Amino acid sequence: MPHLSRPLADGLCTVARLGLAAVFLVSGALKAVDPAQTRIAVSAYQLLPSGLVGPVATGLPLVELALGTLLLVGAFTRWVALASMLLLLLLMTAVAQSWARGLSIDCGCFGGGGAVAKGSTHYPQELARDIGIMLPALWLLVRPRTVLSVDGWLRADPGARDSDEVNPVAEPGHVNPAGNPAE
Amino acid sequence: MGSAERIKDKRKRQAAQAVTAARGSGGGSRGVIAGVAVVVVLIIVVGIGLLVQRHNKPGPLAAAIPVAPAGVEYRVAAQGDTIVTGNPQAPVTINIYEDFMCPVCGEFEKLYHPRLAQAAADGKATVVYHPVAILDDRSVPAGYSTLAAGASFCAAQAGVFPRFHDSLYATQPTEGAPGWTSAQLQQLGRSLGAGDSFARCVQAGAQQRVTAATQTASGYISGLRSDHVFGTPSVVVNGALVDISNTAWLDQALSGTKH
Repeated sequence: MPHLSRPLADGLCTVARLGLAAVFLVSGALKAVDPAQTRIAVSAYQLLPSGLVGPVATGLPLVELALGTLLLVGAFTRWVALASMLLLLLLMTAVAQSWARGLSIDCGCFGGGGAVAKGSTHYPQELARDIGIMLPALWLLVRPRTVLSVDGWLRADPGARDSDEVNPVAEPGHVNPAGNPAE
Repeated sequence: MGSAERIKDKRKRQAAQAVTAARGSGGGSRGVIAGVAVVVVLIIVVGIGLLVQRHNKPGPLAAAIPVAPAGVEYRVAAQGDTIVTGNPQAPVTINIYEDFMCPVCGEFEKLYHPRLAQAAADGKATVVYHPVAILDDRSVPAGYSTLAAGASFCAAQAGVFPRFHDSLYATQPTEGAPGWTSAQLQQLGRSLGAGDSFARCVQAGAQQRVTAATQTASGYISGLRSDHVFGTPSVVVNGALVDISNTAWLDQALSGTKH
């Protein structure tokens, strides 16, 4: 990867972060407004014991909304990126297993979901899309530094020890190397 | 820069940092503010999500189950786990395994019920209904399939099975939504002329009976299928499983043609 200037890399990471935020917020919102359809979508995977279908169908959109919000404000970006990747991996596993088992279902990732006619499945496209969403998450995991974020606000803290923007006033002993008034 | 000077510089820098650390509640307070703000925002967002979900959860379909119009009349006899309609001596026996929650069963009934009822009335076929419950988890709260199956036995005993059965399939609950309640099922029977024993029968429920019937059916049907899966609707004519994607299955069954 070519060496990018810090502001440019920060900007690109910010775009990645906000894009990922949008994906999770939209996905979570679409599920939240149609809980019955979400439930159908979850149970169609035939993965969970029937007692867990309801809690997962209720909880999944909330997790997505929470992750999307944290990404939007840029808090704990590295951890949220990790959580996002795990969630996407889980989802991709579910899609892959339904493909392998010959289930005819729609992923239900952006609303919809449930059984579809054989031949109307779009498993390769769904998996490719999930990989595409995982890439910014992976990048943010490796390089979580972005701008317009809570993390950045905390990073710019004058009291922080390993701050990049060192305030010269905080180091009264620092002098011109040419001179040495302390001695 | 000599090593002595480097060490002095380092000590001065450390001293300066210690001063700011001691002086600075600046670092701590930003972290606390950010932490609290993030938690508050999360609570708000998740709270809104929960409210939206609750608001959009489908409610009960209607106050009362719409009553299906009267169709052709046929003999009904409750027999063990089945409901035998028409003349038991008819040349053809058509066994129908269905779940009241099952949407495909609703389609099946829409397509074939009038002719099945007619065949039963005319003595051309014995149509045996096997109400099973494999979709209990599709209703929220769970359990509509068992409730409806049990109620259909009660309806057969009370002599109101035909219109009771038709009404439940005409307006099926949607998956993920509440099913018809016990009270609504009792009301349906009452409006069809059933007596108090019907209401008591529905209230008592038939959990064990329906579960046992479902297990028996499951073993039987999955044994007849190459993929060993039990699904509804399943149709068995004279001991052989019928492929109902062949829309002429009923004609063939009634005319005795092997399919």
